[in-house]
Amino acid sequence: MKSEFEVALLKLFRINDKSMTELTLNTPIRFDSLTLTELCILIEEHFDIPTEFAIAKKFKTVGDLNCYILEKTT
Amino acid sequence: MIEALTVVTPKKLLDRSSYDPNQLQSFERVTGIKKTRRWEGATTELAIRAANEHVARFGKKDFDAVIVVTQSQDRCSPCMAIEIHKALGFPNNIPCFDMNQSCDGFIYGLWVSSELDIRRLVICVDKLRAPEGTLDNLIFSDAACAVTVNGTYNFCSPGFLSDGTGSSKLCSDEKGLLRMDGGAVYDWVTSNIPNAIKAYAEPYGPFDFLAQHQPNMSMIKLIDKRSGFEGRSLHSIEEYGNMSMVSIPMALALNEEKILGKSVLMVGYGAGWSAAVMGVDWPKQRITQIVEVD
Repeated sequence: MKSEFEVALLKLFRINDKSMTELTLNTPIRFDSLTLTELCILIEEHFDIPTEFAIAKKFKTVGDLNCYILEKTT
Repeated sequence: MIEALTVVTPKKLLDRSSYDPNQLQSFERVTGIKKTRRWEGATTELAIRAANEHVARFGKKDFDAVIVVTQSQDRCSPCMAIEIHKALGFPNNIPCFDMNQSCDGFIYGLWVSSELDIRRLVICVDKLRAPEGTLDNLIFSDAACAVTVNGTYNFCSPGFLSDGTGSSKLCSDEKGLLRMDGGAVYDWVTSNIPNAIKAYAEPYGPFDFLAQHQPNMSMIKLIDKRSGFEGRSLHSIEEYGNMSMVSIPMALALNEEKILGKSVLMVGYGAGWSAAVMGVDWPKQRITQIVEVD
């Protein structure tokens, strides 16, 4: 069972790659600036963590993103 | 006070058919911008059109000054204000001058004109272009507004935020095209503008509504939320796009029914990492018109 955030995140990945059905910690994040902006908004909406674009730009994988969220919420 | 306000916007829409549908969908989701309006003539012509529509509806008052705020002059000299003065046949003994300001230009125009204790015609006009074919080019719509300003009694003193460190992140190039680092703009605006709004609202507020510049819907919503104005913010971006300094007057005119007799906090921000905030008590009767022009 995926969380609401995971479902929303997968939607972002599917903008440029419709074949993607699942995310792993190693899934690379290669978003254009519009999608990265969406990611910033998504993080704030789901976890109430205001996230700068410059921070989001540094996420190389879904694992990096998970670490960031964990750090901010614990 | 603001006695009357006319906002003029072109009917013509930019054709989006050459854009990739996926990209376009993502663009619309993030920015909320569904239409981009284009004026094919000179910027001065659009400004004159706004001035003409304004005096046609609200009367040719005894203006004591003509002030133009723009960052898209057709040429450096002469100033646009003198051409509007000529086109409208104003008397020869009044001052006419331009101000170069970005998306906070409406507030700068009101502030400068309010320092002169006379009746002014203030025109804000912009016609920004990003490189053809880029998504940035879909953001900016052309527009002009004309305002009659007389006295200061329904304004609060403005507040300003000037930080030139981002000058290279949002600026025009040697061809006059706008170059923008969207991520840097997002970070500066969402980090600084909510605090600027709160800092201003503390001594001058509370305010019933927020009329902020309309850069894109994602940023607007974040600023509404972070500054405590969710559900009390005036928007115009979906139909009219980012109209640079005309965004605030468009949001005011489009939502005028809601703000009659209410207080509105206006905040403009943009190029040069520059922002201006000003509170206004809106009159109890309608004083605006929106005109779509060919």
